[in-house]
Formats: sequence, C-alpha cells, structure tokens
Amino acid sequence: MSPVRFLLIEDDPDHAALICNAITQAGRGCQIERVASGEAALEILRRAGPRRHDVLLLDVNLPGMDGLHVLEALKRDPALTSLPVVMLTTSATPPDLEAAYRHHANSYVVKPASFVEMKQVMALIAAYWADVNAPPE
Amino acid sequence: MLGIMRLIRITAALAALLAFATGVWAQTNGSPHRETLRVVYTELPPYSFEDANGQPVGFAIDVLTAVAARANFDLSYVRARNVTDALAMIADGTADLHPSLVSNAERRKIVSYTSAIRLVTLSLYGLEHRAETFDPDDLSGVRVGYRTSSATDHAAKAILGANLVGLPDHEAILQALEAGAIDLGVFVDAAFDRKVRMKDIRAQFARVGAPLQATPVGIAVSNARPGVLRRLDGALRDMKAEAAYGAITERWFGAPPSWWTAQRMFFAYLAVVAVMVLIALGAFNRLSERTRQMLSREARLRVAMSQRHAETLEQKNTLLATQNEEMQRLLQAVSHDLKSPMVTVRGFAGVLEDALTAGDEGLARDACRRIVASTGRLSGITDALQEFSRVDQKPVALREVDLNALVNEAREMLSIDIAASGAQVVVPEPLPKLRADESQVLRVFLNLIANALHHGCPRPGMTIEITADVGPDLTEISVRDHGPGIPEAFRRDVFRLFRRLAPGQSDGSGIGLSIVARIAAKHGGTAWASAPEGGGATLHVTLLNRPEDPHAEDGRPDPTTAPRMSKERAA
Repeated sequence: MSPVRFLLIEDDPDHAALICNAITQAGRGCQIERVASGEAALEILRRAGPRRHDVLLLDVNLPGMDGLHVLEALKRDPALTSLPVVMLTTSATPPDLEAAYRHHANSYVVKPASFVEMKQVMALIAAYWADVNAPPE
Repeated sequence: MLGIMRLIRITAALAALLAFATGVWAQTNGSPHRETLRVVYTELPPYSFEDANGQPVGFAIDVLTAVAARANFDLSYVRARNVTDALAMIADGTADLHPSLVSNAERRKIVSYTSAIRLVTLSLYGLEHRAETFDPDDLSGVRVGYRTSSATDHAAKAILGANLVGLPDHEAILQALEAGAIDLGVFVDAAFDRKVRMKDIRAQFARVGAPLQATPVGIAVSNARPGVLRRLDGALRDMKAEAAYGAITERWFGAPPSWWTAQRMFFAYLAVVAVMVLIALGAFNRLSERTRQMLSREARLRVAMSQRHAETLEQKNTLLATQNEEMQRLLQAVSHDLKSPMVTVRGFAGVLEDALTAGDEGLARDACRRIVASTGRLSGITDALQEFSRVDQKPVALREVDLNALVNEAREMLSIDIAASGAQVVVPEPLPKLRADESQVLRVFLNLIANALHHGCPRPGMTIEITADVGPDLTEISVRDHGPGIPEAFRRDVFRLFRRLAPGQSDGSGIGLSIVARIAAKHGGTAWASAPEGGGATLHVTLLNRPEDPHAEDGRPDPTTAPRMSKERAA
C-alpha cells in the first residue's frame, strides 16, 4: 500500500489544519503539502511536474485567483492535465458544482461540518487515489 | 443679314420660353408660384388612414390640409407601408413630409417637427377578465409586450420592474396577449380599438391603470426643407389661435377639452417643465414620505412624460438591478463566509473530542483556541453586516464636517491597532471642511485606515498618508499605504463584498471596503484603488461637493446613530 501524496490548496489556516489532521488520521502514511493560494500552487506544480503529488485538494473560494480558475489552468496545461483534482468547498449550489465539472474536476466535495465525516471523506479520498495510483501487479 | 438671323433666334427662344411657362401655368391651375408638397402618410388611425375610396383621411390629414392652404402649398399624397419606409422616402428626397409622427432621436436626424397637433397617450392593455388582477403601481415581474422601434418602446421601458417583451407589430402583441404569452401590452390609446377591430380578434381587452405616457405629435418635415417647416409651423400656430383648429379637433375627437387652447397648453407645458426642474433639483426628496406616497402615482405619470425622466427611471431601474445583484452576491457570500467558520468550529470540536480521548492536552488547547477565534470571526461578520445594512438604510445627514477632526477621531478609535502594527498615520497637509454625513465619513476613515493597517503595513515603522483634494464637483479623499500593493487584476474587486485578496482570513470581515464604497455612492461619489508611484496602494473615495441648503431636511443630524459611533470599532 503506497502512501498518497496530497497537495492541499487552502487559504484558511484552520480548514487546512482540520484537513491535514483528518488526512493524518486516515493512516496509510499520507503526505500533505499545503499552499495558501492558487498562484503558489501553479508555480509549485509547474516546477515539480505531475509526479510529485497523487491528488490535489483545491479550495474553491481562494483570494486572488479562485479555485475554478486554478482548475481551468491546470486542466489546460498538457503537463498537468492528468493530475487528479478534488474540489473542496463550503458551497453545494448546483451552479458551482456544474462549473467544477465543466472544468473537468475529478471530484467535488462539500467540506463536511462534522470532524467525524471529514475524517471519513479524507480516508475515502486517500483509499481511492491510492488504488488508482498503485503500480500494476 | 447676320443681325436678322440672331433676332429670329432670340425671338424663337423667347416664344418657346413663353409656351413652356404657359403650359406650367395651365397645369398648376392659375397659381404659378404655389409649390406642391409631397406628403407620405402611413396607416396611423385616427390621424392618417385610407378611407373606402383609397383617399387619405384623418385628423392629421385635415390639419395638414388646412395648414398647407394657409401657408400657400398644394399637397400630393403617397401612402407608405410603414413609418420606416416613409422616413426612407423623406430621407432620399422622394417625399417632403409626414403629417403626424411621434418624435424620437433617430427620426430627428431626418425630419424636424412643427409644434404639436395632438398629444398621443400610451396605455397598458390586458385581457379583460385578468385586467383587475394587475396593480398598475407595481408591475414588477409582469410580462409587458411592446412594439420595438415605436413610441411604445420608450413608454414600456419606463415601467419599473416589468419583464419587457419586444414584439414586431401590434398583431403580434395582441396574439401574445390572447395566448397568455404576455400579461399586458403597451398601445397608443387612440389606435387600440381600431387595431383590435381590424385584426378580428375576439378576446375582450381592457385598459390597466392610467396612461403611461403622453407624447406631443407634430408634422414631420424633411430636414432638407427648413423653409417649408417654418411656413407650416407659422400657419399652424396662427390656426391654433383661431377657431379653425378647434373645429377639426371636434370633428375627430368630439368636443375639445376646455384646456385645449394654445395658452392653456403653454401653461400645461410650463407646469410639466416646472415639475421636471423641481424633481431634478431634488425637491422630490424633501417632500415628506406621506406626501410622496400620495403624489407618487401622479408624479410617475408626469415623470414619464419626458425623455429626461424616462432616463431617470432607467437609471433607477439600473440601480435596482445593481442592488438586486449585489443582494444576491451578498447572500451567497454571507452563506460562504458564515459556513466557513462554522466548519472550523464544528471540525475542531471534533478534534477536541479526539484529543480529550487521546489525552493530548496540546492538541486540545489548540482546538479550543481555534474555536474561540472562529466564533469571534463569526460575530465580527454579523457586526459588519449590521453596519453595512445601517449605512444602506439610513439617509445621508448632511452638515459641515471637518475632515481633520474626523481623522483624529478615527486615529484615536484605532489607536490599539495602530500601536500593534507599529505604523504611523500622517496627514501631510490640513484637510478641508465639507458638507457630508459626519458618522459615515468617520466610518470611511476608520475602514480605510483599518484596511491599510491590515494589508499595507507588513512590518513596523511604515506610514499611512491621508490627503484630500477639493475639485469643482467632487472632493477626493486618498489613503495611501506602502505595503505590497494590489495587483491590477484585483483592483476593481477590492470594494466588492467579501473580496479578500490576502490569503488566510485571520483579519478583516471582507465587508469594510464595501461599506466605504456604499457610503461614497450615497454621497454621489465612487471608490477605487490605484497603484501610486513608488509602490504600495492608494484607496480613493470621492464625495460630491454640496452647497449649503438651509431648507434641506437631511441637514439635521440624526440623533439615533451619531452618538453611538464613537463607541464602535472599525469593521
């Protein structure tokens, strides 16, 4: 079972701490790298390429360049388009959801209010992407 | 010999000329100097239409016939399919005038108008059995059909809040009404009955409310014929002063109303102009709420009577739309910005639970700290929202305020934050006095300085400069910091609700600068951000210079909020 390497793009330090905490408790030896803005994330990803991370957790409501724009930029970049992106948001409105999928988000998760659910969701995400990225037997 | 030949030639030429002149004389029936004006008319009953013999008849035709006779013109008629064709004929010189056209800017490029021969009123019509269900004072959301490129276009756009549906012709509007695709249609009153009869539509229609608009209609004369316009208008004015004009009016529209005389019309127009000027001067604002309610209906009719006021309505419409849009954005932003700390609070409550189970005191303390900070942020947001709504609701209370005193007060109120950031708030030159709402301008300073402290003073020892510049119309207040500045792409956004540019949300509610922008708007100004030379950011706010007006009701200070201000903190 290979560890899943997350890149978390989240400006709110509390949410970031919560998500990191939840991912850590999901086990699997997950690794988390966190950046606070979309611009910073794009810079890191363009430098490091698609292999350094297994899955991106991208907050929608970011200051400056918002999550949907970051998503659009990622999916348009041939070098990064294969990176799986999970959108994280507090909004469950249909237009936001539709916009995310229109820009080829791989998944869309509404930040759960309860920490128990948060842990479950992060564990599911980790398990799913760990399997997807596992080398063929 | 040569001389005789020349004489014969000259005589022959003279004879030919005489013969031609005689022919012309014979053709024009004895009046060699009378010119024939080519009239193009359209089916606009009861002003101009064809009778059973294909002859042009109608009120405007009669007026024109009488006016032309007075001004020594003969008339020839040609019928055009529609007004567009008629105007095209006038434009290319194949016709000289149209007997009765509603004026608009596009048409004035081709024709000029004599004084009015008749007022045309426009009203809303709906299916009779549904007409009672509409409140003419509130048509928001009602689907109103109008004819594009006609006078009804303009009248329809003056209806506040209605969903307008542009349709190509009267028939389409009637059919849409009958089919229930629209609720009401705008029609020229005099034409409505005839239209319904002509189109053989069985449904029963009724007028809804009072007329929307009254438009003066004159004879439209080609701009290429200014002399003709002058002569016709002179004759028309003479005729209006005499009984002849009244007789034509009576023939087509029954007994003329008592006010339908040149003098009374003059005074009526004068009254309308006076009302316009009063409204434009803002006198409307000073009427008490009760009187305003009583007058609102009548005032709205009068307002609609001029293009200028239709524009006012349009502006109000735009304003309402903007405010609606802002409200939508506010609701969405509020739901996000309240949800976000909620996620933190509930999330860390869960972490706290885990930490207590595991006996991890450090983690438990961290969770508690974050919960407390988040609930603090929640109450900060609700406070700022309250302030925002107060600024939005409260009328501007104008009085003379000294900006220096307000800056000092703001500095005092923010002294803890200023000290914490190690920044200095400086006023290089004394600031002016101006007439504005004291508590609101104080709020502007508080929020701009607080913003500069949060975003423009990353390390101690930085300065925030406050300057003001009095222009002819506006006074501009500028607050400059020497921080990282605002990227150009986001400069428009900073004054919008809940737009934060810096990562993290440990400070600022995202509402402070929106309040500043709203206050600026309420003072007839705007707010924007710029990048000054030498780095940093400057936030600008303009306020309209308002001369002293001793009668202004708004001039009194508002006792309900003014004293409370000194206890409040920046949003």
